[in-house]
Amino acid sequence: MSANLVRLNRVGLRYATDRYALQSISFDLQRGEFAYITGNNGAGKTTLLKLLFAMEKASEGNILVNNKDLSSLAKGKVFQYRREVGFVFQDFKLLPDLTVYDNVSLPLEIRKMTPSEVDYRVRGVLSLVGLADRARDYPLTLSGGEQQRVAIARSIIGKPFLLLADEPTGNLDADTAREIMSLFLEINEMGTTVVIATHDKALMEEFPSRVIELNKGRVIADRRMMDV
Amino acid sequence: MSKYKGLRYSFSDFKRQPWLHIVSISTITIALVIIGGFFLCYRNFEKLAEKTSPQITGTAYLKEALTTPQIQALRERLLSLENVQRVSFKSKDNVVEELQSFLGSAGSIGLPGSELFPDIIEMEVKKETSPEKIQIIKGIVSRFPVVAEVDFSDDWLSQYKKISQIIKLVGLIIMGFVIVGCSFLIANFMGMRHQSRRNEIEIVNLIGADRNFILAPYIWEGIIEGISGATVALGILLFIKLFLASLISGHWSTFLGGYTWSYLSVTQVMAVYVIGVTMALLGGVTVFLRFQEDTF
Repeated sequence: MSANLVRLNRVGLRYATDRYALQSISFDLQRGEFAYITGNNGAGKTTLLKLLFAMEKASEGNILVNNKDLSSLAKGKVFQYRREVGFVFQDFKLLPDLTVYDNVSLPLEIRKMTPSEVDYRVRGVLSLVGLADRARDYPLTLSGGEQQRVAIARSIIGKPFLLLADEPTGNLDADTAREIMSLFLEINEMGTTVVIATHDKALMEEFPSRVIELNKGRVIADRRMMDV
Repeated sequence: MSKYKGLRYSFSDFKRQPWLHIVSISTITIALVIIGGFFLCYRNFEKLAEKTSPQITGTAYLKEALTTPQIQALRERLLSLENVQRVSFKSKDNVVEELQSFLGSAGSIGLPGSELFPDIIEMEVKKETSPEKIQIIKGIVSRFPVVAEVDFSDDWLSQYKKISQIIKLVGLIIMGFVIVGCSFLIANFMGMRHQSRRNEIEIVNLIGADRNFILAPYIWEGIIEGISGATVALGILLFIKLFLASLISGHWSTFLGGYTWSYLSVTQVMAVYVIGVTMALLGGVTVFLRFQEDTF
């Protein structure tokens, strides 16, 4: 098995208006790596994550994730790919009518797992994110940090090999953001490759790792934060 | 989504958006009352027609001085014709007697003698015989050498058949319009619900839900709405039937010969349920197909 989990080769995304959102992006990510995608607003961070999550299709180049070519991924197979990759959204995207437990268990329900297995895994993951005692609560009764923990729990419950997070601390205060980042590191230490899109330099300095910097849809730097 | 989970989600949506569901069910109910009303009218029209329609009969006026073997041979030939189920010979004396008995005391004064009347053979044909077939029988019998003239009182039959066909045609057209119109309305109501759940669908899609998982609640909702709408519609139709029955027994019983108003047959009740569920499912699936391009 290749050490590269993700390989982007001259990837570009051009809209119908001929404007490029991303242009000639090339980089590799190793298994178990922790990386930041950074850049100013409009640099293409979210678009890049969307490409990695098969929410968009590259118009140029190719993307290999776990030896799977996303450019040739059939529309009807996207849902299977998404079961293997976790995504944490800035706005959490929790279902307000479901409890914390039901939100977290949803990816397993989709996979038609047995109730006992679902229960075992949900309880384990809720303990990991520190929300074991809030299982029966509804998302709107939780703080922003707690909601983000629920979103993270949901994204990792399917044991993804790749976890993508789009500005996961964008709506959180500094202390809560730090807690969430610690959680991502903990998940990474358990073997999951983590890619976080953020423009929070302070956090990147506090939790240094590889940084891929974008500007106007191009990679302008690829370095380790500690080198800066 | 497992089917029970899908059902649970559907019920939770009924709790979340009761008014949208009530409007959808009401639309189905109205449509089914119109369609069921047509079924009710048609069934009773058929039964009434069957009850009030006299036997279809024809009369063959015979030439003079036929012998008994000739009459017997004619009877046998007539009975061998398709759709003729009974024949009876009436001599001119019998004819005069019947006429006198029909006219009562008025007949005994000025009625001419039996010499003016011919012997006749009356033929009864099956009720389902079409006007065209009666014309064929008429043609055949009139060509018999011993028959002077044939008369079938079949005008009412062709009128009845025409009306029956018109009712069927109009009913089918109304049903078509109602089903298409209501499916369109339901699709719009479901569209409103879908819009409100679009965020939810997007989320489950992003965490790896397949089409069946997303479609399952809509299927359940369609089934629940269709069955609910049909049940309410059947209740309303039962009320209408009881009202009409009491109206008939009170005012028109003499006119309709003591006819008892019937409710829908088992097949028609099943048809109302099937149409109700189909309309609801059509609405749901149409909306789903409309949005699936954006979702997947």
